[in-house]
Amino acid sequence: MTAARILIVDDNATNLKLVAYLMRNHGYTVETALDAESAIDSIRINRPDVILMDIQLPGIDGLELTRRLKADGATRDIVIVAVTAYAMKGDQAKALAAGCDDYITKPIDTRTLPETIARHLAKREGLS
Amino acid sequence: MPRATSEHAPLQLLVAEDSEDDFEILLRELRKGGYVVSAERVKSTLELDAALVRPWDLLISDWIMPGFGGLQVLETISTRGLDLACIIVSGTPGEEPAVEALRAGALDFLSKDRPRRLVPAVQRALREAADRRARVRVERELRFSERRFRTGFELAPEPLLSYDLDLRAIVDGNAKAAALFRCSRDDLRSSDLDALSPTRQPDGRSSSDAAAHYIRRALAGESPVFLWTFQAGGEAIPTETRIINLATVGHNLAQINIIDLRERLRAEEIRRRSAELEMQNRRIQEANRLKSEFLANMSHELRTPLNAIIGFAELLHDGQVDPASPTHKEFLGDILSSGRHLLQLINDILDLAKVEAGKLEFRPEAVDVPRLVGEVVAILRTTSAHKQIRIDTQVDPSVSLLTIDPARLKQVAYNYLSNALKFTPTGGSVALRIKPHEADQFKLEVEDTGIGIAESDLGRLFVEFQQLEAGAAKRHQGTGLGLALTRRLVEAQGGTVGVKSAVGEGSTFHACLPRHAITMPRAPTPIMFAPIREGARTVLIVEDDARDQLQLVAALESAGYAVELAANGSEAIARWRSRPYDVATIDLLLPDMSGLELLSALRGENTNRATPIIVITVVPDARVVAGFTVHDVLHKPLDRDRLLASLARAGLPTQLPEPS
Repeated sequence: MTAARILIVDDNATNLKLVAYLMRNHGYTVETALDAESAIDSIRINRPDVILMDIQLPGIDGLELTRRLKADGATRDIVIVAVTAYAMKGDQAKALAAGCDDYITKPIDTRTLPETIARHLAKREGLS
Repeated sequence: MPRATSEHAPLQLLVAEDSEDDFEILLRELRKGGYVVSAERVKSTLELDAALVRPWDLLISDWIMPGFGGLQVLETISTRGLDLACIIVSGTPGEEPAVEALRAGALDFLSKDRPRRLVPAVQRALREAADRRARVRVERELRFSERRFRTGFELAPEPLLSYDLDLRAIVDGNAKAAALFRCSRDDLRSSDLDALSPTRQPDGRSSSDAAAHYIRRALAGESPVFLWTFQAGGEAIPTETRIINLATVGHNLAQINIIDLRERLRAEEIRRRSAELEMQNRRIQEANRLKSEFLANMSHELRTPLNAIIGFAELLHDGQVDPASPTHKEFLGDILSSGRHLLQLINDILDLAKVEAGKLEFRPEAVDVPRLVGEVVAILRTTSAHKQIRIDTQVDPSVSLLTIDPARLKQVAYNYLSNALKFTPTGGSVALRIKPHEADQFKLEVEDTGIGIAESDLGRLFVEFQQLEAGAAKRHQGTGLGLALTRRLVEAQGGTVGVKSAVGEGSTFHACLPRHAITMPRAPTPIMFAPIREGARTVLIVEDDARDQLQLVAALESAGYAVELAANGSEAIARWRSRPYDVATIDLLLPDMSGLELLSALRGENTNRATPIIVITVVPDARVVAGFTVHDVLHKPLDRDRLLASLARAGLPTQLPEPS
């Protein structure tokens, strides 16, 4: 089996570096984007299996980008996991309502994030 | 040419005459005299009665007729109450019958021997009759008008006074006026405007001078309308009063209309209070919303560096990174810088919270401004050198020495400068200038050649966590609190902040602050009083604002008054009860009760019942005192001379010993 492709979207370069290192270390093929526009370009070219989506982005935010991707037949099947520092009451509901498949708050747990992603991928394989 | 009634209508003439010849002579004379006559002759009481049913211009009667006489004719006219001119002609003239006839109502008594006199007599009689009719009509109209006026006066829904402008005396007042002034109408008639008013109007004018002024205007033909405070049973009655000069012949009689404003003022006060509460409620809701937003943003901003700190630490701890690799060291560096960022964030948040709670202490001291500016620039030297940005500084000599908290001034300068460096591209330049502003302020200005700010974004600049986007790749480091904190620091010291900018043209941020900060007293009454001189007049100052307290105390003590201070309403009431004061000054905006509540409480006490109260308010309307007896209403900002003049008017002139 070829390595699953992951796109990480985060406007904070340090956090982007952290998650990218973690997922590469777990054998994923990783692409990164600092904002929604470059994320859209990357998705078109790289066809990721999973997107780890920060919510607060400059310009188009993570929620809006998720809505667009889930409304488009070509990208609907990509697993989108919100990874965000918005951790107040109601933030999870907002993420799920926008179409995110899961919601993880920062600070992330580096020991469980790769497993969570693997579970989502397995579920998707099972469905198709 | 004498004419009877009009050009065309013939003279309607009734003649009581037994002699046909005499009747013909009479008609001939009248026609000769130019009259067109339509005449009827009667020869008996019966005929007379029948003829009198119709209208006549004139009756000419013979004095003696068989079974009939001039006297009877006159009596018939009189009994019937007819307004008909009568002339008597007689074949046997004499003084006695003439007197008798005139007494009975005849206008003239003529001899048949002298027919020439007839025409002039008729002319005169007709003229007199016309005059009398006109007079009767005018009198009747006057009576009607008088009755109409009386009824209107009595039944008017508002208090009215009849006033003699010449005698300066109330002539009468209607029932409403008596009710307003809580006295009988007889009492009103023996009273005058002065007696119904307090000694002074709320604006400080003496009531009798002011009343004289309006009466003069009424005498000049105006109808002055003015706010006037009457007084009844110790209660002030604010009114809108109008003097209307009725200018009847021979009298300068006026009507004074009074509109009692108490209800209206009370209603306005209630409306104002409820609007205020509504505003307050909205402000609280808005503050609440901002607080929640702030909390959510704060949580987000704290979690972001923590994510890097914990995440990288886990990777290193769990052996996911080769300790010998450069990556290992890089990640340690990331933990370090994220940790520092977090610390900065926490410090900013704590400062903000302190400013918000009013707990930030400012310790003003003499500050060498060029040196302070040099220190700030030194801190930022690494950053500016790295980006090859030149920092020019310029301090105007007139503001090189200031009294201000140096740490806070440094913080403001640092925030502006580091912000400017962040947004100025490599090779640009930044200027920091400090120059005088207005009479007692200085302006700190930081200009950059950076990317500039769109006008639509200017409003968000000084708001917490509102970082403007500068393109994803260039998203700057920063807590999003720097400018918000700067604004609050400056405002807490009585200053203002602002920015001028346009996209691509750089920005200029500024802060204006007092050149010489006053140490703001925070305890309720921290002011040291001058020792009270023997016999000095004592003023109670009710004022919550520290700066105004200082000003009032200084103004009054320097003029020789002894002062006591109350910083809120309850303190004021307690002091008011405890001892007599010579005068009190009252601010209407107090923390614990409304100014009107305080006035009402003070005026309800027995102690200091007659003590003059001077209201000092920011509200530029004398009506704010809503009918309470006050000596004067002065406006903020307070003028010392005005205050002293007002005290002098209250009979309490400055007591400084005359320079000898």
